[in-house]
Amino acid sequence: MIPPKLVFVVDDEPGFCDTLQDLLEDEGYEVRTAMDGSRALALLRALDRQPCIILSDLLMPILDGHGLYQAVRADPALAKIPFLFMSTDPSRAPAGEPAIRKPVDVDAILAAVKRY
Amino acid sequence: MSIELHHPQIGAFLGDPSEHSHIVSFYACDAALVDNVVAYLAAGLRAGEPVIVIATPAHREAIAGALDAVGLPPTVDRGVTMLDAHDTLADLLVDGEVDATRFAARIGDLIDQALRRSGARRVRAYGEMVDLLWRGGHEDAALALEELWNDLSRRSSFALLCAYVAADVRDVEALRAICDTHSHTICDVTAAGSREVVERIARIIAHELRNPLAMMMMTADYIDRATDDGKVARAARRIITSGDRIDRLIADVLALAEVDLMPPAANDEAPVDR
Repeated sequence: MIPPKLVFVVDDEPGFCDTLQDLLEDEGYEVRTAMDGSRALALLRALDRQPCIILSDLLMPILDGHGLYQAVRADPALAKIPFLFMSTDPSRAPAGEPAIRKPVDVDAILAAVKRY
Repeated sequence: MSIELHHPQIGAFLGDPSEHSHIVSFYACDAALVDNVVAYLAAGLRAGEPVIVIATPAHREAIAGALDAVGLPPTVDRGVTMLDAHDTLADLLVDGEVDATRFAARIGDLIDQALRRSGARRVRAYGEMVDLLWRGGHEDAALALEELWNDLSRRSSFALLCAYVAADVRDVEALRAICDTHSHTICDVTAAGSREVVERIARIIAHELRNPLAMMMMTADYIDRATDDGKVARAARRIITSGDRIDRLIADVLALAEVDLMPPAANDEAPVDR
């Protein structure tokens, strides 16, 4: 049996990860979450399979979205995982990477995830 | 994080900070800084609280002169301790990092002694070591030192005022990192050079509002999708509609803040002491 696609959600807002996890699980995805970039990086390196996409906030404590992005891109084992940034100011996302504005359009997130 | 923009009542706020306050002030010129520090220290001295100042020589001299001018000459008998920020910081560093043990021994003992000698309920401290680190490009060390102050505050009774040169805090992430280590943020919007900081603070407030708003709206959207109950779905959609209005209001307030902040006052005051 083919396992469901894995989506990784990183956001420091309590409840945001939970709701997005419920939404994506209802659409048939498996979801892992972290509340800052540092924990996300540790979890990503410990996973036995790669997520099809990382949905990440930009402004977070400890390690922000930019730091997580740079660390993932610098790690050969993780470098090819696509990102979708979710931010109150999407113009601050890393150049060339897709970003959507918070409050998020759920349909836009689901459409983006379905592409991967 | 708590952000408070105080204008023009900054002096009143600094005169009576709440217990264990760790306040950060962004300043653009020495005169504005000294006014705020003296308002904070003078109120403490009048209340019988001992005072510790860890500042550059020029700032110590200006603060001492200003305290003297309001009838509070900064003497040891009055409970005033003045230390040089460069020398004190040098004592705390080990391999370029602030050493937690040295900090606890030096600063912790200083506060404990001041409390014992005075019998007062708390100490008022003003410190510039973090600003020295930040200006020197050691931003992580500055934030680590702020956290050491916070750790000490959980064990000892003092209020702390820190100050950073506004122009040295160049982006929202840096400003947020500083604000996150403090209980209160103050910024005099009339001070020349403070306008940019106020705009950055407004953007942080917008972010802090929009994040929980995003969570609420997405959860309402989820309920709308998941329920078969028409009444529940309509209620969820009303939350989304109201959330959209709040989001537009935040955008409007941000736009207003960018155009409607007081213009910088004409300023021929001395620049900051570097």
